[in-house]
Amino acid sequence: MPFFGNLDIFSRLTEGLPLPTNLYSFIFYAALLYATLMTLALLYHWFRFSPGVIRTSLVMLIYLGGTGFLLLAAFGLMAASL
Amino acid sequence: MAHIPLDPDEKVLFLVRKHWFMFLLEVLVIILAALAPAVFYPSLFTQASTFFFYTLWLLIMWITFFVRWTDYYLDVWIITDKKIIDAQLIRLFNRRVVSARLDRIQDITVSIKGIFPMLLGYGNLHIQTAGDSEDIIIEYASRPEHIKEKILKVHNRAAEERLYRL
Repeated sequence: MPFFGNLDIFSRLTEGLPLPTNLYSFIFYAALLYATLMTLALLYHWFRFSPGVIRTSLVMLIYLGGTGFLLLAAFGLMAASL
Repeated sequence: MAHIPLDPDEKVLFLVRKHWFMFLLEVLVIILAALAPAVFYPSLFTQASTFFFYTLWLLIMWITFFVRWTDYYLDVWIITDKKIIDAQLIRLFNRRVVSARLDRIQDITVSIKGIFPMLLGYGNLHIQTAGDSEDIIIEYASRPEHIKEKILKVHNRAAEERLYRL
């Protein structure tokens, strides 16, 4: 038996059928991990190779603002889907 | 300029980056990819579950945009009063820095090919250097003819200074 059972995510979504609750949290945590790793990689490159602290901070603030907003929205929608 | 090897008395004269149009093309692809699910499957906003997956897709596109921006911004050619430095971020955690002394420059070739390069005024500069040192290619630079003139001017100055020293 696979971890999430034998299921076709896309067909279930298009037919409006519910997905197992552990699938949403698993996908959300995978996205959170991906966002964290990419944020660390971008921070490393900008602070190491960038010519100015002010410009770097501005770019990183915009990036972190957008990433945080999308992660919060995904978390809210995950909670609403359960 | 952080993490670029410069001599203590070396001065940065100017920087060259790729033309903004090259970045705009990448941004357009990202925007199209971000909007495609909403355009082809508009009912995804009616259910929280489908909206959840679309939000994660937007997150991936947002991060991809910043990775491409970082790649664009950190690809730079630095012209100092002594050398040309080609600093390229090939991908994340893969960076290449090549430099050539100005007095080693033998020839600079400008190539502008295509409709958009002609209209927007960008092209490639091939800087040939003497000896075993690697040639430097400045890709998609805006106003390449102007950059060539500026490089040749500082090259002539560097060559004259070298002659006086001899």
